[in-house]
Amino acid sequence: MTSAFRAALTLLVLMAGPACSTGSNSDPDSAVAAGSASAIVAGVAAPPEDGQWTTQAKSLTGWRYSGLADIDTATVAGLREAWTFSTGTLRGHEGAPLVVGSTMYVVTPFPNTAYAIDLAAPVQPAVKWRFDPNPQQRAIGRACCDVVNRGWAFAEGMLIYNLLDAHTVAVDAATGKEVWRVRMDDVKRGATMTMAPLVVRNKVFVGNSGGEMGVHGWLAALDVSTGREVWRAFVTGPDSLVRLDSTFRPHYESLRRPNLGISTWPPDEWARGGGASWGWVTYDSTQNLIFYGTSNPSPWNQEQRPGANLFTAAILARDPDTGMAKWAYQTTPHDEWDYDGVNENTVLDLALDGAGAPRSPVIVHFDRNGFVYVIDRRNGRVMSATPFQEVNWADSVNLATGLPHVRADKRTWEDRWTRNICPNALGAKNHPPTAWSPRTGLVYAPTMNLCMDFKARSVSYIAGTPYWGAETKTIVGPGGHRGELVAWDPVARRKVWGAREKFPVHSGVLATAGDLVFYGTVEGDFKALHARTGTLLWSKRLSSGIIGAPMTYRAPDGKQYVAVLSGIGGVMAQFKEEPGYPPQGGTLHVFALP
Amino acid sequence: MNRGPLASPLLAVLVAVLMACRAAESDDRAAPLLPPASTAGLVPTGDPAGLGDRGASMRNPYTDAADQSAVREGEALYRSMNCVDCHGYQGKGNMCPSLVDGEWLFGDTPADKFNSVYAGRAKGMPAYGGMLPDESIWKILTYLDDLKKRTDAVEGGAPASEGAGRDAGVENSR
Repeated sequence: MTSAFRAALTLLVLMAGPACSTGSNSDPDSAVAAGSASAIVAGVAAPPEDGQWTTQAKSLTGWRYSGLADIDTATVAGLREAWTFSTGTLRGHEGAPLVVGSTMYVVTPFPNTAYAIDLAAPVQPAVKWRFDPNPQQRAIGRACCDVVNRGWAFAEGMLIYNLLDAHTVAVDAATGKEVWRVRMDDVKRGATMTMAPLVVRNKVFVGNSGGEMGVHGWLAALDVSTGREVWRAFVTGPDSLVRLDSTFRPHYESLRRPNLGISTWPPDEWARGGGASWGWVTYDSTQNLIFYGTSNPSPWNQEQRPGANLFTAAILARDPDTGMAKWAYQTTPHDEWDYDGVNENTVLDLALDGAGAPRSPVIVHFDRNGFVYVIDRRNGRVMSATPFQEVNWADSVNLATGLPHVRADKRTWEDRWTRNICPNALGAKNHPPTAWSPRTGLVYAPTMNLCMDFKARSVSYIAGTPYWGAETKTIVGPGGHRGELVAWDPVARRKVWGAREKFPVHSGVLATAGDLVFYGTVEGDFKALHARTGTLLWSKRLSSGIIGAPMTYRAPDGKQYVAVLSGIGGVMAQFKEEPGYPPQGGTLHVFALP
Repeated sequence: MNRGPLASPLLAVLVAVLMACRAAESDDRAAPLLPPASTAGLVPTGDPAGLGDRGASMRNPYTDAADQSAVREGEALYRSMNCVDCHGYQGKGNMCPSLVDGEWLFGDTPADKFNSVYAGRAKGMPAYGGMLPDESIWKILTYLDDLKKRTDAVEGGAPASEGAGRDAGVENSR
């Protein structure tokens, strides 16, 4: 194919994109590996590469993998900054830009301004429209971990995202006009919204934040066209609120009893027990299930809430159409360390018994608690649970019961310090998402090497104030580095290579068919590594630290671009006194080959 | 919003309409096509109005350096009212601004500080006026004055070190 022809073809495809009702809510992952030469391990196929990036992880399966390969291990050294764009805000910039057709969409931290950037504009990309939703200011002081937004979705010609003041908004992607806005929770009681919505068919899934504020956690499905709430599933309370019935069949017997969302709590504590769904949602078309995790229970002081505290710090699988739960698995029963279970559940089919063996339908989940779980996505059975960083709160996970073997000397108590617990409250990996490459069979995980001292305190519930009740001190883990990008083989259950960093690795990761892995550091270095060896092939210092997620796309000019937001903040702000911590910023950086 | 010269008379009407929409919104979670949110009248304004003739001339009655009981009671309140989780165990900020850096975002007179606690502030500081008697608010402020003095005394000399391998000053990681 000549490059001119390819460019013309690309343009045609890109122009067709926005008109196509299939956008991001189509199901690009339904094909099972047919004719995919590259899928050497995974049976869930990468969607045909269309050069777009229409949902936060590119695929509904959470892969963050692009088939574009113009930029590869040989050419990446020539990568240059093509253009930049100031977002006009200075707080933590999380999430990935989306590219649909010839338009890029960027949303800022509070005040959650949205921009559409015309990639086909003459001379250079230019702002097409700007949308200011004006969320309520009071949300600022109710957000535990900076006023971030973790991403936005595109569906039916609309940009859909959550506002910090606990509303979900849909904006006409062509005009920038608001189509609908729905109030989802009460910011006066401490609820905010920061997570990235996911769209499956005609529903958009959103959840709340506020595990430090004593919120009542939930995930809801809204009708994409109107914003009408189709269902809402709480994480605690009676089965009717949690949306459990006789079709709920988790693998572990201990999770099958009725009304566990009440009986695993002291009276009434479940109603302010946290379990917010502030992380990622993924989708498996073969089972028609969505997967997501729930946050720590409120408060952090475990002595105030004896019991397993279901279904906090857990993974849930639900029918996207009805919201009914099909299974659940609690990664950290009765959490005492702030080990939220909200990290992404990547949908993979893995040959766990060796190449050539039948592939197992699984999700792979790097939990804050330091274990990477490979779970049968049909029923929630844990097939393996392996530490991927320093872990000492538990020795192991019993696969027969699903329960971790907790170390007594690492339990936490009121008015008493417990020393040197690993990982710390940020977790061995926080929300910044992993990438999976079907070419290498590796998951690339942004991880942290931190431990902590922990002391709980008795805390009263005062609506709109933190329901927190713990003091922690951060300790750097063994080796002295605070972070590491880890290339992990989920079948062999081992680290293949790691790239250590002074600060925690707190950016998302991008894997490409060019056998490259992109990520960013707190200092602001945007890096490309060889996906097979971890060798650093390219690096560029940006204007602020990187906690956003890199993405790649093919622009109307036919070239492959790589984009990432810089803008330090989020939970990394706790390292602001450290040498090397960068100034605040808020800039989109876009790179291409000359 | 770009306010033209003729916009002001219309603003009050607009605000009233928006507030009516917001009121309706709380009864209907799925109400579509809401206008952009307005915060007018719905958050504590920070205006000392409402404090009556106590107003700007207010003084903290607990400033006797020889009497440490107000400091101790203020510290207990700082913890029990959950100020500590937001502003930090050392008062250096966390979710919320530092209270020991000498920077008072809403004014540094006793009346300004009292009013921040009593009436709240627009960016999320709750109003404690309905929960705490005036004396308790003053004692919390007395504790913060003491905390600031102790912080300055420590940081004026050698920086606090928590030993090798620790991130000094890091607290309440999430």
